[in-house]
Amino acid sequence: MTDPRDVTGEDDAALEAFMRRVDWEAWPAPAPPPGFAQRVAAGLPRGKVAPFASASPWRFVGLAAALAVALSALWLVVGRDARGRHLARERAEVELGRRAVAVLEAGAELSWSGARVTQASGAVFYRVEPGEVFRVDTPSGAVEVLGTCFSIALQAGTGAPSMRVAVYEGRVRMLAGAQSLVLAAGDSAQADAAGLRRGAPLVPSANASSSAAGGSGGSERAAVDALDDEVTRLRAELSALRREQSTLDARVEQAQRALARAEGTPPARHPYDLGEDDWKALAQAGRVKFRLPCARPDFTVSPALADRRGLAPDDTPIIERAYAA
Amino acid sequence: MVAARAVPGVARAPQEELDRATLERCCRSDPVAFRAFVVRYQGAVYALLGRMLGSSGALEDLAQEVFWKAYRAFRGFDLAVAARPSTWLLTIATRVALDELGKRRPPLEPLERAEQLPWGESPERATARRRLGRAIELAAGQLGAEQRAAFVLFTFHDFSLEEIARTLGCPAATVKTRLHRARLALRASLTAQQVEELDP
Repeated sequence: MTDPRDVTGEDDAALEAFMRRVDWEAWPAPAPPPGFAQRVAAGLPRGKVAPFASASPWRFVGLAAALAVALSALWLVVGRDARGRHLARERAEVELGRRAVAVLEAGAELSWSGARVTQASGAVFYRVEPGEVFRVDTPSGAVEVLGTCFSIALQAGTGAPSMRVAVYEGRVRMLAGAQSLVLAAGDSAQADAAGLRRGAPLVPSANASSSAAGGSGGSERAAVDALDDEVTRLRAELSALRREQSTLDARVEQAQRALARAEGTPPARHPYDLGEDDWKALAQAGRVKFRLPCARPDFTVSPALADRRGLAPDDTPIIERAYAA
Repeated sequence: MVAARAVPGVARAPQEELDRATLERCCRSDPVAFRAFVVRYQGAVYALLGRMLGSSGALEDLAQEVFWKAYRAFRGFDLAVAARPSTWLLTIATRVALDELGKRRPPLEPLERAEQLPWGESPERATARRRLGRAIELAAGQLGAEQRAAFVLFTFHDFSLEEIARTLGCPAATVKTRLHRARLALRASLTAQQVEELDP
């Protein structure tokens, strides 16, 4: 087979010259979004997969037999508690009950009972189907999830091992001592002797196709661009939702006023939700309406409370003087 | 196999295939190995689907469908005699794209990601390149599905005419005709759009 340019001789030279002049790579190609590979992996069927086969009568007999075996297996699984222990000498995939699959790297050790897992060492990737809380305890902390893909890597040290959690899908709560952090897809965090802190966002390893992005440098840039796009998109969505919320709030208020007018009764309001007329009445009476929480004589503003409320250190004595008065 | 690239403006290193050991594990439905397969080829699949279908919101669903089909079909993939894994996978992707095109006429939206400035490119050059990219996308959108598939596979994915023929289920001579007509149509459309900056 020869080149497609040979089909007609009419203006091959001119067409070929044109094709050479055009930078076809200017035609943009989308890059995979962050976490795409994880989402594909999460959607794979469990266990061995049968290849496509042509239909035959024997196929239906086989299907019936397989169904019978599957029902028996289901009865066995449902009828017993999922518990076990595994020390991986090489990379291994282990089913943790009916809801979770763990991929253990060599050296990782797990024990599990129902939806409680204890990871003693090593690095493990988890995929958890949605359901009740699934918890992984480690010597350095714990992770609670509702259905997600994440990994925990334990790095041995002098004391308790450091623990790094990376979330690929869904959300998890990471617990270390009294501290906790909620991590969403793309987040990572580390717990060690210094405490619990967020890590760098995950960047998907998009060294996929040189044709798509022009080599590994281009792939990394495409991955960063994709994350950047995602942030921009989510910010735009957030702004749109805020605008929509304002619009809906205004419509609710209008509807409540209309309802009150129709019924001839004032709309039910919180006593401290003051309208324009309320403010006028207070101004005419020379009164101020306020609430004073925690009005105890011994009330003080601790540094922790000030920090939680977002107060500056200089605010503390002012507030305490106001309470004392 | 057509010698080198028939479109000299599109020169690139050939797709580096996944190693044989990982592919063998994929044939045994090993999910960890398959994940490596997805990571390696997701860019090519996205590029193909994006150029075939435009920046449709359903792109991710279709890309996932491609890989799930591949996962199921891997058991029948014979490493000894089969084509390159990328060719095999992109054949699946092409059929998924053609099925999708058969169901709908997707809107051809500009790809926002293309708005990013490539490294070392001047804003003027980048603007001209974006304009060219939109013009090509618009021109390609006027091609028939099979012409478009043939052009994309040949130009961007190093498919030979024979490989395209197997993918589209037609004789290689038909592919050759479709490619030629696609090029004529693209030239006519780009000329009509009066795109100024054409040089690579």
